[in-house]
Amino acid sequence: MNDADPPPETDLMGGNTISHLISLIAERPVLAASGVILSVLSALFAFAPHATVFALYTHVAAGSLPNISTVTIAVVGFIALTFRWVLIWAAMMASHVLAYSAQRKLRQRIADRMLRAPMHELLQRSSGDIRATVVDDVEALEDGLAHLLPDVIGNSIGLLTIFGIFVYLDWRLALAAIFSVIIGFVFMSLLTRGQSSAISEYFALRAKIQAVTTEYVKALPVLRVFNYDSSATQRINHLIDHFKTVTKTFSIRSSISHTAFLVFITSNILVLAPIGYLLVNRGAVTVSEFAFVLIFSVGFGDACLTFLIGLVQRFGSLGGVMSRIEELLTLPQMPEPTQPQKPLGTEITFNDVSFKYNEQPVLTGLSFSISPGERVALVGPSGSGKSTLVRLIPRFMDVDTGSVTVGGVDVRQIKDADLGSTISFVFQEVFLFSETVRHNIALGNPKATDKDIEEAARRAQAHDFIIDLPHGYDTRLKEGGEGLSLGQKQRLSIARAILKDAPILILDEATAYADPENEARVRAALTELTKGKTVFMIAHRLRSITDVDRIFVLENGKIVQQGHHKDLSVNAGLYRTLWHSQQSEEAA
Amino acid sequence: MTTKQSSSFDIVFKMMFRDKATGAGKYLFGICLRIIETCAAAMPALIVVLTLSFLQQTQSALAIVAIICVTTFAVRSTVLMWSSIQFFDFGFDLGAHTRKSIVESLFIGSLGKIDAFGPSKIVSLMSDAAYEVETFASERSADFVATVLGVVVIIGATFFFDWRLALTLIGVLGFAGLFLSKTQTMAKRLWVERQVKTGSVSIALGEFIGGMSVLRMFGTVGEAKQVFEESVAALHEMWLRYEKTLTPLAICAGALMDLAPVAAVILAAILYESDLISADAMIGFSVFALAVGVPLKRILIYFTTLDLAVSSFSRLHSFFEGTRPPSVTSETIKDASIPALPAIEFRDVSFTYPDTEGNNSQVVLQDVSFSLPQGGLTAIVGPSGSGKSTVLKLIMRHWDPKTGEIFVEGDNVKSFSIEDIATRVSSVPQEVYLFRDSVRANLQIANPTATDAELWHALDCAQATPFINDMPGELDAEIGEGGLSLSGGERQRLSIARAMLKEAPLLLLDEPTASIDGASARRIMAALGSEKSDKTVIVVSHALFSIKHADQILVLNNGRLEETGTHETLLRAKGLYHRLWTTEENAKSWSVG
Repeated sequence: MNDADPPPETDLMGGNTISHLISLIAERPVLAASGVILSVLSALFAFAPHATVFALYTHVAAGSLPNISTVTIAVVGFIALTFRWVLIWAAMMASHVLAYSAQRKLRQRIADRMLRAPMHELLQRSSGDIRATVVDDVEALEDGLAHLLPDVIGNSIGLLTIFGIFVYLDWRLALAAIFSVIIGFVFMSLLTRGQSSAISEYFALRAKIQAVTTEYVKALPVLRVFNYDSSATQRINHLIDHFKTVTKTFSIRSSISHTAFLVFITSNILVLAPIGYLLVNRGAVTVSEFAFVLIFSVGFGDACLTFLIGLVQRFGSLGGVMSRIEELLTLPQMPEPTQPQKPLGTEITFNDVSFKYNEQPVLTGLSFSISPGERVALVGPSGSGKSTLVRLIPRFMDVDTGSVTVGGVDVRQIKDADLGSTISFVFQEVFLFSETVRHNIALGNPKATDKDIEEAARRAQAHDFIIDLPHGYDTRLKEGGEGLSLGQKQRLSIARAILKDAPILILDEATAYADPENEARVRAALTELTKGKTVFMIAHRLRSITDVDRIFVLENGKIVQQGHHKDLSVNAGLYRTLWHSQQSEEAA
Repeated sequence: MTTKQSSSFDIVFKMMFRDKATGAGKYLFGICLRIIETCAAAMPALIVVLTLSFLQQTQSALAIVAIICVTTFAVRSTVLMWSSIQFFDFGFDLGAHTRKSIVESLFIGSLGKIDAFGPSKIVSLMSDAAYEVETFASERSADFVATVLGVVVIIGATFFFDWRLALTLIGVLGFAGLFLSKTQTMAKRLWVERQVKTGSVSIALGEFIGGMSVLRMFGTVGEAKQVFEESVAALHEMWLRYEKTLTPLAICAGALMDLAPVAAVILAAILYESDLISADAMIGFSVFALAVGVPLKRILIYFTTLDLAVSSFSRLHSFFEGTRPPSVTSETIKDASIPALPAIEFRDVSFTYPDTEGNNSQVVLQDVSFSLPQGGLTAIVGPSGSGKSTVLKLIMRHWDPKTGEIFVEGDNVKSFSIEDIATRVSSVPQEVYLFRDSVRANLQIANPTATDAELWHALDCAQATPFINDMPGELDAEIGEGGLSLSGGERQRLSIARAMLKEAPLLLLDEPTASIDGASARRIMAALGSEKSDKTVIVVSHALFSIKHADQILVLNNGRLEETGTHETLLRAKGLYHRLWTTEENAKSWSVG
């Protein structure tokens, strides 16, 4: 037990998580109850060896149980103890079954929560972290839960019952028996008293060392090439030495309480023996009462200590686990449509839309409309809100004020499936599943035939590389589409979108030049994709949007100019400035 | 103990006591003190036995019992406290020593291997592994040893009651221990099997999460949720199935440890009934058998935490061993017959990156040979994955080639330590790193004695002057950690300026203009081409338009050197370079209608 270690920082206790767990446990009351009962029984049977020794003692010292031999007594004790382990096995199985079922349902609840959360909440977290929480943290929770019943409940009730028997026999003996254990607990609570500043310094230094190491590791190529003077190593070594001093001082200061805690808890016999002896001499208790308490006190203090160690080890780290699960369970939810309607046509309008992100306004008072079949480009300096704007259309998140309509209906009143089938979204980040190529493209339209899929792949300039793959369309992609170049992945995602053939297309033109070697092919694929659709695209190279129907120029969350390239490039304004600077870059 | 475990023991032993200065003596002294403490901790059992025998006797026995109790308490407390101090001293010294060794490895170890090891793993060594080592050394190992001693002491004491019983106890525990290790091995194997089988299910879970935006976009949420639930259910089934075998195996451990002493008590009863031992001996032995259960249970708990500590030691050990700096051969092979030594020469160099198991994965360079004269600008171009960056890494000795030789100014690169090379090379890596400091400080690490005029000159060549002028404080402006408050292009320009400032004969640049607009890229490359001719500049780049003025262009493809020449000769050759150039030209014109 890391008594010398400061206790972990207090995390959110995960109130929501706890109430979820309780409700999940309550769904299977029989299992939970049997788990508890079995654990308690097994904890009581843990004292079978003590009972055996006591029976042996009274048999030889006081002649009790005269018709039974000591061997029989010992054998009975052995069988009782074996029975104890059978009970433990049963209790553990019950706990695990309960805990696994709770784990499964908890994961489902988290998934439900994630599905209705605004996309930016999810994107804020790395998917690796989310996965770690859903897979690993929930698993850790299961483990904690499965051991909660037998370890915590079972053992504590077992110890309390024995103590209860002590009290029943003679309260003075009982007190003597646990006196030093109580003192030990008192010292345990004193362990970190008056050391809170040392504790925070410890954690601060630990974090600092980690931060500096991270920095050095990132900067290593630079540090090594530029022969950065030894001040870099000196700096971190100094931190390490300081950390050592702080830890030593803290540990030594708390070692008094630490030692006292350990020694007192395990010295219950040292107090009991003289006092019990005294009481016997005074005739206050009988010999057999004292013998009982004495024998049953062997290992009692240690059992308390082991119980504590187990508790800290098993549940100490759950704080972090709980708070991470808590975060996911309390993700904000976008409300379902109350009066769902289907969109009519593909007109897109923004009516006085405002959106804030982390308290910062990103879009303010945005209003415009895009007619069906129109091709509109969105340009503007980075940070002007372009990505956010386009993500409001497929309702990846909800607006703060105002409304977004598609086909005349507020997107908040369109069912997910209907909205999804109306809009295609092609951005630089492509997510491919570790399924076959065919399956990945077919996501666009699960009812598509192989012919349709191949047709879409051809139009997306992807067919050629697909048939070069080991199993062609039936090649199974590795997780995340490893092994494919970025351009190939993008053409697959374009094929997906072509197959889907949704009437509205939202895309980021930078998709094309993320992979310079495949740029031409990706561009051709995009051209195919945009035929005959209402297109709304984020543009970076103004040269590529000279022929679109309309251009919106976004600056600081507001549309400052709109029109055709012909006019915007000659009238004074942000567009013209951007246009000229891009022209001069190319020309030089 | 399997052989794997004993080699882990070797590693732990070596790392804990390898450096005598860190106080192995202290540790030993602490252990001696713990031996005394353990004996004291075993006293209560004796006290119980004594008390039970004295119970029928006179009052004077109370004094004896009381004195024994008080003395035991006092001895135990003092000795425990004293030994704690020894272990804290030792353990935290070891922790600091371990952390410093990690730092040392970072600064003198093989860069290629450090890179392959993984930055986040290294950071975790510093925070988690070092902490585990320190905790193990300052507390847990001593506790474990003391607990084992506790068992030994108590069993030893039972010899006073009856040697046959003592031997039985040893025998029964030994048998239990053997059985235990077999079941634990089985359990571990099952556990690993379970982890592997559930891996694929967990991937499906992960994809649901990572692909959520796609799923939402394609309206396949319902179907995906079903797949998710099926994965979760499958995971559930599998775990439950394994648990049915794993739980009993785990329970065996506790059961055996619990039952063993009681089995010995049965024998004691048999001996008593056969009049071979006295009642006192039987009771006394039984009490001690009861007492031995205490440390036994504790040992089981320690075994689980020991695993974590041992794995931390192993990880550290692999890191230290794995990142040893490359050996330096003492011979230098200067070919004195060549009057003008080439700045860089590659002779039949082949190289493969080792994968994570140290096996060879894809071949990166094959039979590459070229020679670059001193001074001048050389460009290395080619499709992605053709091995361009690797050429630079081999020059800097991040790795050594599998076959072939590399010469820097006539000397075999293997005769240089990494530090030696660092004095001859200045580099612009693909990932830009700037410190949280002033612009001036960031530039000056390349050349601490550079004057402001020299700094500005480098900034000019790197086309960085305009934006530095715009910053408050100019050269004194603070840039954020990693240079975050600057755009990608601005950071690259600073990185280039910094590299130019270093007085080193070789300047290596890896994709230096990836985030920089065309016009500036051209000007920067032009400046690099015309800088003092004693510097040899090598640029790896995708942007062909910016390096077409290079004195020599090396065209790599799939690890082989396919063409060399100037821009003009390569265009006339109508080979790979020509194709790459044309594609680049065409990409410039496109528009969406």
